[in-house]
Amino acid sequence: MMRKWLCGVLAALLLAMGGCSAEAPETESLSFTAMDTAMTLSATGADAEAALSAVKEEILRLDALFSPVGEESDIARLNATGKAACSAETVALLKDGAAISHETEGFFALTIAPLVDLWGFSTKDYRVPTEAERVEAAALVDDAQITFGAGGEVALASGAKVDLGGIAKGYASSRAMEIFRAHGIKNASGSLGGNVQVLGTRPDGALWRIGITDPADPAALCARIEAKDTAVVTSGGYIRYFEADGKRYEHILDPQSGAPAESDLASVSIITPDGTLADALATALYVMGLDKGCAYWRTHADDFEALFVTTDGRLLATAGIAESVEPLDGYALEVVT
Amino acid sequence: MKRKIILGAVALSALSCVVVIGLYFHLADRSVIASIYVDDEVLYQVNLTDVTETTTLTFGEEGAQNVVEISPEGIGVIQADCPDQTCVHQGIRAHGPAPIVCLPHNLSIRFSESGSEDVDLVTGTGAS
Repeated sequence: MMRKWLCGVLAALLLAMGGCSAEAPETESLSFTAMDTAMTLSATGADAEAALSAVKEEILRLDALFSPVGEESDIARLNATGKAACSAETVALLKDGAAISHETEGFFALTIAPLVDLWGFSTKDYRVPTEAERVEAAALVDDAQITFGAGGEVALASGAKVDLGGIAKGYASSRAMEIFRAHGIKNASGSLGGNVQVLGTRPDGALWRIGITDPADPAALCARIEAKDTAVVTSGGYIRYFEADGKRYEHILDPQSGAPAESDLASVSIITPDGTLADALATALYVMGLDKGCAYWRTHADDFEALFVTTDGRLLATAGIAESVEPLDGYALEVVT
Repeated sequence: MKRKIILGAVALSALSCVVVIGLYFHLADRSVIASIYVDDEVLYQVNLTDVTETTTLTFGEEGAQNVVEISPEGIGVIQADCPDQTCVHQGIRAHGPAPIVCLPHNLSIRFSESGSEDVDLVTGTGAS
């Protein structure tokens, strides 16, 4: 009896050791710069290298198409003249953005560009505008004034300009996942400047473990989410900002006030399979603040989940994702119902 | 009976050895190598788990310059003459997976191992 047990233990050990040395599926990674940010993509599978190459090519194409500058850019041409024939893809993305803008009552705005330019966030030549300048530029922010004609024609109200910076990376990450799928890839991930999107599970079958940057200390994490087949996009003002006269001015602008958003939130993370929606809602809910953000989730709970970090250090997860969230670094988790 | 005890002891010893060896290699794998890239070339590498003193390194010329600090707490850009200061705002990090990036100067600090946080990816490093 004892001998059988011993044989069993040794066999299990040998199997475990054998398991350790078994060849893992091939995982390839690729890093590059596009859309004014650093991107890293990983894919597992026989066609991983070709898939990554195709995804990079696609993201560079989208960057050229949606960039605020450049001859190939639909957006640059549209902003230059206020009217342009755009590709079907640009029109579709503009319509998606305009729909989110309408749904969020303007807390997300495609036509935010005049304000972004005014504060110098587009040129990195920062300055604090006067109130009169802010009011004037904010009056140009109105996505309802974007009109769509036949043949891909898009027109803007006089002086208006669009900025796809709030959704282009999210759209690109969703496109990346489509390309991975077309190449037969079942496990892939992408970080497009911190916009995360994952396909399937990790190669070992476990859920992806996605860290949420701690807005109070961007070198640390405040939470970890376990998920699959989803985008996780975080908005916050803790990385991109400038200081003037002892005050910090963050890059996320409130379309209504024309000034940097000043809510009770330090960051918002949106979890949904649609990268475009995740990107736009992260910005919108950050500007809304906690109460309005939670109210918005309650009426759109089928579309997304959210994780809020408040300026006074609270961590709140919506009910649909709460069980997958592990608070880190001294944070405690509250559930939004 | 005596034989059974000996066999049991041998089995337990074998199991203990495997656990200890496994732990050793697991902990040894925890070392975090930080690589500093400029224009996609590695200019400096350091094993952060071996760092005991604080040092600073300067990369680039004035107008395109980053000062990198390496300390027992980690590695980060503490000074840069880029306009957006995003690299400085990313702080001192002891591990990945998120890199520290200065896009205007094409400098990045990448980590070879994600370290102790047990995450595959990090969101919010650029904070959309």
